[in-house]
Amino acid sequence: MYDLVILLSRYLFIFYIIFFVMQSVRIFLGESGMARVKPYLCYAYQKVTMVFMHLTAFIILAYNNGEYSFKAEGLVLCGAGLLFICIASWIWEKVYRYSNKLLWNTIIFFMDISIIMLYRLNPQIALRQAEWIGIGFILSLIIPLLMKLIKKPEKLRILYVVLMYILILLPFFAGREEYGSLNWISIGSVSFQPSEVVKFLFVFYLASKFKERFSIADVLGTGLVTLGIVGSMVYQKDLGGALIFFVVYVIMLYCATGRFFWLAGGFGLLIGAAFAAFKLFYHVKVRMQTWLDPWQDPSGGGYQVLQSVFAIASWGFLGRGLGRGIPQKIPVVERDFIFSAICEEFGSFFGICIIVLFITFFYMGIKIALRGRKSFNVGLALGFTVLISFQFFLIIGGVIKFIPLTGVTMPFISYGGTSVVVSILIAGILQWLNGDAEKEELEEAARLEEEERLLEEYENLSEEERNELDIIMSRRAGDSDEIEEIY
Amino acid sequence: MKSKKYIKRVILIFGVLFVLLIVYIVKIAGFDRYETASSTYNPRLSITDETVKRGSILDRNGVVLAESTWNGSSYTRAYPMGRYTAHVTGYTGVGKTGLEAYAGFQLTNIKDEIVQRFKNAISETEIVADSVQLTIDSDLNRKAYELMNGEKGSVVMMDPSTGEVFVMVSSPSFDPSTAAENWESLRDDEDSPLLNRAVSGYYPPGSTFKVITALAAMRNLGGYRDFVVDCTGAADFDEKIIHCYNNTAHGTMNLENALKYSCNTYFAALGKEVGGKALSDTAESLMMNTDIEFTLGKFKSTENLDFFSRESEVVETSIGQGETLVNPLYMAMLASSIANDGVMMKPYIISNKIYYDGNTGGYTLPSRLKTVMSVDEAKELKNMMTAVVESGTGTDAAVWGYTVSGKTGTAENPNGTDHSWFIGFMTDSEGNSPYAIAVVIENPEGSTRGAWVAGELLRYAVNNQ
Repeated sequence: MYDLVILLSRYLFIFYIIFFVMQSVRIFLGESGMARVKPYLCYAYQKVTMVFMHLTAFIILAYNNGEYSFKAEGLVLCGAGLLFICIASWIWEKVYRYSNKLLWNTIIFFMDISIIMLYRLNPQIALRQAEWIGIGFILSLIIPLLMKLIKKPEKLRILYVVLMYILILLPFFAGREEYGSLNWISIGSVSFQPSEVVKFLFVFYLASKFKERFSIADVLGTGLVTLGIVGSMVYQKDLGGALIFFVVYVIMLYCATGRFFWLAGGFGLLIGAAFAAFKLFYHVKVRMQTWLDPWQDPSGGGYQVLQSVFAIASWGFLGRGLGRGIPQKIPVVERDFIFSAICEEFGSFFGICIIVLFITFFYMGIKIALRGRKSFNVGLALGFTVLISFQFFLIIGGVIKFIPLTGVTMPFISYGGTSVVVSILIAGILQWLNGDAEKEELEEAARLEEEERLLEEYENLSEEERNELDIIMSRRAGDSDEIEEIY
Repeated sequence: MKSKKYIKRVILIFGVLFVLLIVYIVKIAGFDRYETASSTYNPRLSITDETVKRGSILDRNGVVLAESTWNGSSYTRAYPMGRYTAHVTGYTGVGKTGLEAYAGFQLTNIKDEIVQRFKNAISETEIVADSVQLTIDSDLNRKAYELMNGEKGSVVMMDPSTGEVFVMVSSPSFDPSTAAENWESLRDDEDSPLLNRAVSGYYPPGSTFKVITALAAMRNLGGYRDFVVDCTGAADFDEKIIHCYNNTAHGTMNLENALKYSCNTYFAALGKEVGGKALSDTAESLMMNTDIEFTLGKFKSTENLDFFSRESEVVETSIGQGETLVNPLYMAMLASSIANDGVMMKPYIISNKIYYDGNTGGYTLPSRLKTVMSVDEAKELKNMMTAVVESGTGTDAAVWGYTVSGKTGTAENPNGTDHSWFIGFMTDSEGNSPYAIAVVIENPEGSTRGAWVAGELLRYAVNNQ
């Protein structure tokens, strides 16, 4: 009977995610004027969908089969999750002015999937992830204040570079190796990846350089800074991280200069570097070979990625049903391979829908960049959107064996303190940029309205009055010239 | 701001990347699903759900080869045909082998799972996973096993025009029902009863390889019909003396007679004339040195001649010695391709699935592996092979009322008496070839044991249709 319920629940979950995606699409259609929709209804539908999905999942997961009872910790987590779904975006909207509701809903949806899947894999881990989400949430509330305090963040370029290099070189002195990469440092019992913090500094640095006229000297300068960062990450064996930074740099360079040459050259360099790394570094070679033919060593080097592909492929598009699969067979399933676990139990179709949802996230991020007035803001939005999207592509591509596996986390969904906090903060910055752009648009609209009003008044004046006004205006203009001369 | 134009292009770049991800997921979870999931490395196949009846394995006539039955507290697996089909069905218990492993995905997949579980919840009917029906004929398998009379070796019989495998016997065999209990003694047995010799047993082909040498001559030697050798029972080659069987002097031989009497000195000279490169090319065109996919694991028959091979290697390979290794299934495919006008079919053993409600589906369609030779080449080889059975070394394989074409072989075995081979096929009066066969018997008493087993089995098959 329990099995039957779970089997049927697969259809429910697919319905939930399709319905959620549909609302997102409707909102986009409404915004572009292609359909008439009531956005507030769509947001509300999404909220309701999340509540139902959360309840369905936790009723299944917290139930003790055969004992007619529920696990206490499951119910607590279920309640906490419901509370978060209901009030998080409400608080966010209060703190962030003019924020994008759809973007909030989307990331809450991602984090809910994360909590559900982690609870299914290991309740202890899910509780810790919930704590991290809470911490990320609280930290994200500070962003608007911080951005207000720092008047001109684009002027702090030197600070970014210095901090960035301190952090990225720190693991060489105080680091330790985890998951095969030397990019962790611990402070007390908390260990974190400095490269996650460097992400912010890096994008802020590039954005501060992001401007209309981009000279060869700028290309060289930013290129050298990037090279240093990427190089030390490669040395720390954090290939995925290095790749993300490099791609962010190339894309931003391309957008700033408009030269296709940089894009092509960047990717040419990437392929060259990959080839050289293949020849030079043993661990890169092993990874490439594992990707090309995991069947060479199915119980050794190819084990991880094959287990992942088995998990995704075995149960087809509908999945095995929540709690009925064996995702634990995949090493580090709760971090890098969470997507495979989702596909195994919710079905590959659900996994595809997550990708579609992420496309909407990416689209929203790019739209924020397109709305920006200041080139710094455009650079920030573009940089962060590309960064998080490429990270998403890298890990999904890796676990489905589309590209070689690079150990990066899946934004919002993988287990991991730094990963989830950084993801939330990036979303927070995007929201702040969205609010800023919206504010400026509104101000501009108000200014235009005022100008129009004045023009209308001017037209209504008599000939004499007009002449008088013109004289006053020209005098004022002369005054300001004089003032500048004095300075 | 001009950069916005380029930012819009970034949408395109990432759009393509994300769409590629989706397409790839559809590929692995949709198109490649069965192939991937059926891997024996997939731990999902060994999820044991005690409430589900594992699918049965049936032969082509519906005879049960493996079945799970409810004994009141759990399901137990029984193998009614026991050791006759042991290497086909494999066993479950200490790991899984045979189809229990390779068809594990089908045997645990539950068709209409929701419907079945719903019925189960209401009326406690059994939840039944999909069964598979094989192309195997268990009666012929039994006969073949009995004909081998405990000697080591293997018999493979198949349909040349479809690739269906009728018989796959490997001897010695084991009882799959008790394999789990006796596993350690089976594993340590020197005769390797657990090894499926039909697929994983590699032997030197002996004189059966002469068919390939003959084909290489037909392709590369313009005047091969006039190529004659005076056989004195032995001949000197560079670093190597080639003897005919029992040092029999065959006299003046042409290609047809040499094949008929399996004259080693003739074929050694022919191979030398053709050359290592051409011989190797011909063997490779016949799918040697190539991985061939099969339900019970992929296999590869190998030879390693090339342009630089020494003369001694070339002459040895020409008569099926040297470093050439073939498995019985491949030899049956080779015989099949000659019977089937040069078209080699992909061998298959699972015919279809049978679902819980008795409906069938998931039929395997015969598919062409490769056209390995022209119709004329096939015809010419067939005529020569017919002579072998009519009046040459393979008369033991003759079947009354049919034309049997074949080639015997005696593979030198460094560890004991020689192995006896027979490959061939049977053609009826209308020109159809219902059976192709490959037999190998390890260290038998007489050198024509292989041909005799093949003949007995073909006669049995004809009389019991």
